[in-house]
Amino acid sequence: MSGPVHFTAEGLAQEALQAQRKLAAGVDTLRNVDEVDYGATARQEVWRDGKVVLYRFVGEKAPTAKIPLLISYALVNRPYMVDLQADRSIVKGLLERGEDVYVIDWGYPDRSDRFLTLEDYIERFLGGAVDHLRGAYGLDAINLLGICQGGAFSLCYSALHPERIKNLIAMVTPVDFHTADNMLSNWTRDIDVDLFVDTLGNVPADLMNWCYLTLKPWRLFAQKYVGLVDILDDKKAVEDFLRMEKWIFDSPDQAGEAFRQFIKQFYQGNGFVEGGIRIGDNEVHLGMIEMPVLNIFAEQDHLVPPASSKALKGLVGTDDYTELSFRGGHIGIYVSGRAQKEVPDTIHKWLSERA
Amino acid sequence: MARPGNAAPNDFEALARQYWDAWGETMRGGLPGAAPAGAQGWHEAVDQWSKLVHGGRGEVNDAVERFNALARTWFGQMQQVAAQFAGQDGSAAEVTRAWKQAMGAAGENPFPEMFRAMRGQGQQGLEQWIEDASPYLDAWRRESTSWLGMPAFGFAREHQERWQNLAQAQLDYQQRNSAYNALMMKASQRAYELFEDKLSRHDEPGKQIASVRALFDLWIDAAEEAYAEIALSPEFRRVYGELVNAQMRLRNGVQKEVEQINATLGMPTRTEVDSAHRKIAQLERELSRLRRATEPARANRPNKAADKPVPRKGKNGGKPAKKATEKRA
Repeated sequence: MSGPVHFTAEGLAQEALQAQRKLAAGVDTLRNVDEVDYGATARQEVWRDGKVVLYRFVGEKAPTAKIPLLISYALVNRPYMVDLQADRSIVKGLLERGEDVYVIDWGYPDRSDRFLTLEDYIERFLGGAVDHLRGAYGLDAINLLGICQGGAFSLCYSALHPERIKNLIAMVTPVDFHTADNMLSNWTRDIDVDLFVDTLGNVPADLMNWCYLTLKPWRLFAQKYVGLVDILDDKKAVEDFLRMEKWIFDSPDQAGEAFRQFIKQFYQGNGFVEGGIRIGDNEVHLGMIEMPVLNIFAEQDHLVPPASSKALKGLVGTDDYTELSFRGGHIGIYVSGRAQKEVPDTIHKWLSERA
Repeated sequence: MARPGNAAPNDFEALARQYWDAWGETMRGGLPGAAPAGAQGWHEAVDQWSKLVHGGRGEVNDAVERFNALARTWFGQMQQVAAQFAGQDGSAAEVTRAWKQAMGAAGENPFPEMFRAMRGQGQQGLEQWIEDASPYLDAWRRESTSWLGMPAFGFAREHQERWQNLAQAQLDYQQRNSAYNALMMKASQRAYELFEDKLSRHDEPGKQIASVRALFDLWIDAAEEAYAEIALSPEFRRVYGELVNAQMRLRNGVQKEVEQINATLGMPTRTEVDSAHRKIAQLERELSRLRRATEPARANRPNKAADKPVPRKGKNGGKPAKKATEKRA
């Protein structure tokens, strides 16, 4: 036979039969999957401001690190991605290595939060959590790990208050928002964000999800769910799949004013590179960041292209700058098998050398 | 124990067997180019399966609904294509043509169909609002068409002008949406070109595609590549921006109408609620600023602004207009 396809009756029938077997097995699997929960590690609430809560993770052994590590996650998804399940938890890996780990949970903004600004998120909430930890530990400065949009917040905070951050880790953090491969940025540049926020108020999570899915619509929708058939006879794999689904679609609405400012100053204005980011009355200059910086980015990141993150090197004021280029994507950097060792190892070693 | 869903497992097994038998018969019959009876069987089997597993946990239902929305259709159609070429030759162009035909009406421009199917629990695109609001918009258009073109004057002048603007916003949105769909059409055509091109790279023994799944994955690669080319272009930026802006103008117009009605009925409006929330947020912000300015961050050793380092490098870091980052309102 010539041509690009070589289908035989037996081959196609076998494939169809295989799909049928998987679907049949899936009936039992889906009925018997355990409750899909997330958050592998125990945690304690230690501070709160409105809907924003600071949690301390409690590991199986007492931390050996003397300086707490605060994780600042993005607003657009829930922070439990860093502690999704026992075998996919960056937090667990850090605790096992002796780090003392905290995370800010931004909560789910509702209509009454529509006028929260970036100043509220960065100075009041992130700053409040930092100050709480500084006070609780009697320290001038703590360690800060910012992820994605939370990384951008962490850069702002560290630039505005460099004396309060001892070591800064930026993970899949967008810095240069105008790289040619940044699809999200391309989509936002001609949007009238004032009209957008004035009309919508808070930006609905469902709209945000839809936007993210349409970055790769065929892969993230058609292919992913066709692929689900392959694992329908594997209870553990199905539970992992469902847990990830829950995370993807468990998204908070975005507080309107903060969204407006973030799109304008970061996506449209590219303020880290071009200048002009203002948090409250103060302008952000990344050159103020003189503490040690570890920049971790993902080589196949379609949300935050590596080039966007790597721009940090030329903008910060520190002489102690380290990069980790992770082979994986924006999500794989937390949940892939390799990430479980590589990421906590790198962070712990880097922090230990700067304790 | 009650079973989730409203279908019995035996139904699914019977359908699946029927599906499998249909495949077997079609394949054994070896009718050249015949669309297999099993293709429809796949739809029915997956439909039945979805009903069977539905009804348990929410996250299971959501995932199954997403699976059913797309995997069932697209993969079923690809099965149909593969079956047409079972036991016979087919060029890259012929396979591509068959795939396009298998998608039926959506074949010319499958992207909008894909986006429509993507809607569901946890994800809603822009066009969803238009569909939700269409009964109101349609009724309003019918009512007002007769006097929309008239010059606005008299006691209803303000109302008429507002309605005219709303009508214009609706027309404008339709135009922007057409422009966006035209761009998606471009992506679709490019996807078929790339699909054919990718297929032709398998045009020799040893490299040939032998499974429906492999053919489906190849289409996904082609479609994503074509879409990315368009979605990263300046043209997309403009068209997408105009589409979003047009819909926001339309929504805004509708919201103004709702406010008018609320005000007439003595109900609180969104503007009033927003105004109250704005005041609360501002008060909280001021309070937070005062606290930060007056309370030492550490109980024993208050921070000193003088401890702050001076920026040493960085494009924008070298020109800090206001180094005193502790400035408070």
